[in-house]
Amino acid sequence: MTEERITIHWDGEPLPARQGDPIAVALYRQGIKVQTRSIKYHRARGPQCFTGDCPGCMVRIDGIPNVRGCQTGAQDGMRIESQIGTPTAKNDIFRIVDRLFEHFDHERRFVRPRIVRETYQAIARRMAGFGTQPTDSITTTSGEQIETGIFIAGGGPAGLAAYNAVRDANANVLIADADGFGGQLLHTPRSVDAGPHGEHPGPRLAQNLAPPERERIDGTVVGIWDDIAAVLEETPDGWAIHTIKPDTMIIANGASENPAMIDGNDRPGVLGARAARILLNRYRTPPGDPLIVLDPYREGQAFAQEAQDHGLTVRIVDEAIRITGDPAVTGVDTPNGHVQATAVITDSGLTPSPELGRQAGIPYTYEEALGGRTPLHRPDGSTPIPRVLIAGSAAGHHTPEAAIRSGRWAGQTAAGTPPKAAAQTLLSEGRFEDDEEGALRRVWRTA
Amino acid sequence: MKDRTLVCPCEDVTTHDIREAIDLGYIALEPLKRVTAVTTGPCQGKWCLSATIALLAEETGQDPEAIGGITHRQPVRGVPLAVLAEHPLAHDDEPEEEDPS
Ligand code: FES
Repeated sequence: MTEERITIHWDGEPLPARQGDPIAVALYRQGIKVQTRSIKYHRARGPQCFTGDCPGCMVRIDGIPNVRGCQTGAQDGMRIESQIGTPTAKNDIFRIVDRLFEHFDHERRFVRPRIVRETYQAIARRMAGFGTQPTDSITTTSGEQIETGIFIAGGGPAGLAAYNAVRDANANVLIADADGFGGQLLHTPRSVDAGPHGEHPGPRLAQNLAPPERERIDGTVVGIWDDIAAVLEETPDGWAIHTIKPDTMIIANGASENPAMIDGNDRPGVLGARAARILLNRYRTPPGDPLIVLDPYREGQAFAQEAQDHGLTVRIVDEAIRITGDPAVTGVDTPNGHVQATAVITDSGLTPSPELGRQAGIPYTYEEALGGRTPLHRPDGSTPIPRVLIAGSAAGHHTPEAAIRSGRWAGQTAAGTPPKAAAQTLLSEGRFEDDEEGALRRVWRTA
Repeated sequence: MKDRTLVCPCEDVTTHDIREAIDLGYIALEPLKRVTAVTTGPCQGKWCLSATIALLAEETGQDPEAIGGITHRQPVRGVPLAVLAEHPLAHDDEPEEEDPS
């Protein structure tokens, strides 16, 4: 498990890595927390989410710019370069910009006259570091146009449960996920009560629920246009976009983690609690030691427990003034003095991913307890849009238990065998907090 | 590094920048987005949208429900243009004959 068998090259330096571990994880494991720079102030940056939702892991791989290191598996001999920073992210000479400018409004300054604007833009673009042309090309292949009965966008607990419910009803189904099918189950070591699917540790449950090859696409849904979904997949022949035209669509694309609003929240080594769980539980990489967990809620508490189980020193801090460290985290300033750590874990909760739901036309409401913008839906997964259902974390059902149940109901509804007592079971077995329950009831009523 | 609270690490937008824009009168989400570049970086708002709505609600006293959201355009993840160009539908509306002008 801990064996490092392959070699990758980071800004020219050879490093050991494990085959298939995401690049961002492989680098972090080797103590490289600074993996890029910010485009304006050239602040040191590193991975913060491990789910493709932040700018902290963008690198250049084998001559291709703007690749997300947390979504790309390490292969032997890969040449990975930091792409913002001159000459590299670590030794960036422009890091002085962060000290020189207190604030700099790049949208409103140097706009007139035109010559100033043009000069400024030319310099700014070069300094930003984006846009360096590729020196190699990616292999592409023609995608497929597929028609199916039910299409499930996302293979976390909700998507997998939906898939199995549709299977049981013998309907025609296809499910897409680019991250190994399992979603949060892959970083949930505790036993999860999956109702009819039994009670198992998360990764085991993910295996039990996994779809066979002929009914799945190992790709990401990148958009919905009316009744068509587009899926980006890396096939053995190269990258392809498939278009799927289903009779019914189940959206189960999960949630994004939110940043904590505190000074220094972007320092390398500041991770969201879910990111920290992914790193520790899924990739067996301690985010740091000692660790600070800031004001933990559900995800942060789970992480704190898991980190302690791994023998790491965990310091819970409920009141913090700022996160310290240059370039990477050294701790947190509190009203009672400085607390030292090599990683700071924040927990500002999860927000249902709104992209696909909105593109499918689902109206959203605001429920703080569910993470903010929440799609209007009913307990059986249906939405105000005919033939579009939504389930799991994407609908604000954030625990694995809740996601599995809501996925199951959506699958049954889509297959034409609607569930009985869906709301009751979901609320009694979904491990919701009281304020989440109240919020869900409001959402259901409105829909 | 300076102490900064980043709302949007993609575009280096801080809580100070958002507050300043609000003071200038940008109290609706779309104009705020245009003047500060919040939610317009490579994460497409996945990291910062919720934090922006919360800050806007707190600073202006608006109901977050009324603040609404942004338009989430396709594609929602980075897609190399070469891959899009390969898809059969990409050639659907190409003219049969090229106009030589
Ligand atoms: S996008 Fe890769 S770590 Fe956030």
